[in-house]
Formats: sequence, C-alpha cells, structure tokens
Amino acid sequence: MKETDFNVGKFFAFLFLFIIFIFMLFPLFEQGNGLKIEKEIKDLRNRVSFAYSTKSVTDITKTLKESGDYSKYREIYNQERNDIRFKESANLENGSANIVTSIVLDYRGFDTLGELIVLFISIIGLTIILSNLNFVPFNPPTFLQKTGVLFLTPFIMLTSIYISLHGHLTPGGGFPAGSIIATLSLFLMIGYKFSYKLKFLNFIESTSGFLVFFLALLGLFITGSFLGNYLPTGIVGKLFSSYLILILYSLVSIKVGAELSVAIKTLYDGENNDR
Amino acid sequence: MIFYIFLIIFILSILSAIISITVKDILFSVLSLGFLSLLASILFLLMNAPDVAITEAAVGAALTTVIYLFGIRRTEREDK
Repeated sequence: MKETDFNVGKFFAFLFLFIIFIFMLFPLFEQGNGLKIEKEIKDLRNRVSFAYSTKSVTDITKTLKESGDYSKYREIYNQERNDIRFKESANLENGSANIVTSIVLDYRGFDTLGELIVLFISIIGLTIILSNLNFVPFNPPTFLQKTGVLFLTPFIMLTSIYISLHGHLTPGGGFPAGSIIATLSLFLMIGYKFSYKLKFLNFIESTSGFLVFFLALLGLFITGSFLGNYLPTGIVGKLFSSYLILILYSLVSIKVGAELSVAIKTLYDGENNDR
Repeated sequence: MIFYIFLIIFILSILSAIISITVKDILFSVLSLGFLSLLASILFLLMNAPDVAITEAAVGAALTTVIYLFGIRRTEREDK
C-alpha cells in the first residue's frame, strides 16, 4: 500500500467520532423540562405496554377484534385489568416474571430465532476461513495463568448455570449465558488441559438447534402461532414456572455456548490438530 | 454527581476509541476496544438496563477480545 500523509479513511473516522462525541455531549447541557407527557399517557394503564406487563395480550386483542372499535382501547384495558402478584397468580398466558424475557422469547420470539441464525452463519464463515490449517501450538501456560484460571473456573461455571436457568426470573438469559460458557471452555482448555473433540461440540450444537426449531414449530401446530405457549405456566416467580421459556432458554444457551466454543477451539488448536 | 460520572465515562470511551484506530500495535488497539466495551457495559448498568450490560460485558469485553487476541497471535502483530 502506498503511504501518504493525508489518510482519507482516518480523516473520515475522526470526523465520525467527533460527530458522535458532540451527539453524546449534547443532551448533558440541555436546559429545560424535557419531554412533556400528557397526564393520561403518564399512567401506565393507558399505554400499550400495559397489556404486555399484565400478560393479557391475547384477551385484549380478541376483544378488540370482536368489538371492531380500536379507538376505545383504553377502556377495554381498564375492563380487562387484573393484578398480577408475585408467587401468587397462576396459569397466565405467559409465566415469566421478567417482562423482557416474556417479550423476547414469547411475544417477539421470531426475532430471537433470527439472531440465532445470524450467529450460526457467522460461525460457519469463521470455520470455513480457518479450515485445513495447521497451527503451531501455544506455549504451555505459566504458573500465574494456571492458578488464576483454576481459581476463577468454578465461579464462572456457577454464574453461567445461574444465568441460563434463571432467564425467566432475572435479567440475563440464553445469549450471555452461552458466551460465558464459551469463556468457561477456554478456561478449561488452558487450566485443566480439558480437550473436547470438535465432532462432539458440533453434535451438541446441531441437536440443541434442531430442538429449538422443533419446539418453536410445535407451537405453530398446537396454538396456531409460531413459538406459541403450549406448555403449562405455573406460578409466577418460581423456578419451575414457565416451562417452555425455561426449556427454550437453556437450549439456546447450550447452542450459543457450543458454537462460540467451536470458534475458540479452532483458533486455539487448529482444525487439523484436533486431539 | 451522576453527571460527572457520565462525563468521565464518555471522555474515556471516546479516548479509547481514538487510541484503537490510531495505534500501530494491534494488541493495544484490541485491548482498548475491550476497555471501550467495558465502559459501555457500565453505562448500560447506570441507565437501568442490566440485560444489555450483562451481554455487553460477556460478549464485548471477554469473548471478542479473546478471539481478536488469538487472531493476532496467528497472524502479524504490527500494522504496516
């Protein structure tokens, strides 16, 4: 490449960063009352998100379709209102206590499926680029690296299991748990000299991905909507409560963890040095 | 108080982003990218979005840094 004093790409990068910097600083020095919200909209009961937080979306849409008058949706909300109590109310249409999870995996579950496909395609690209390469093995880890990894591994294992199993109760869920599992597999490779076979990881990834798609398609046959909730939803807030979301999120975490550990393993050992 | 914390995080993140594109040594640029995503996760936590903060810390700060470091180790370190 020819070296020049004035680099066009660098100039545009600096310009872009400067614009972002001004954009970030701008709201900090803003003096004013901010956005004025009407008193009616300020009440959560008058918003669309109220239906999602009380888990009564299908009832409200059904009543709206029957009446055919969409201008009076606020009144229908107030009629359908029923309080949801933690560890008391049971058999709702969606059993997860975490509203974000109930939207991500139930009401807008198709989006999550697209994310899974995007991650799968990126890992396919990485493994195609890195196929048939003989890497020189890394130096063996020093004493400090080894003891640090040995100390940290049980805690990382605990947090990954906790986040993947409590996806419907606390923030977190499948994708961060999967990436923590991939970090765990790297630590096991460094500290414990634990070596997986790539075939084994591929088997886990393909079976869990197939099960996710199968369970999602079963909803289409049983309830009539993709990823519809057809398993019983127990009491809100208990560990074994919304069974479909629990199963799906743990499967997603296993799938993402296996995919990302395939990427780390191929970069660590090389495909041909598969022990 | 929260204003100054936000200001410090903004300035540090902008500085680390500038360092990551200007430094000749790719190792330092990758490390500053990891630092940038760590700061972003702190920002998400301050803005009451723990979901996004956990994901950003796990993916941005840990995994992508490790994958980039492996890639640097398998290729050349200095930018030409």
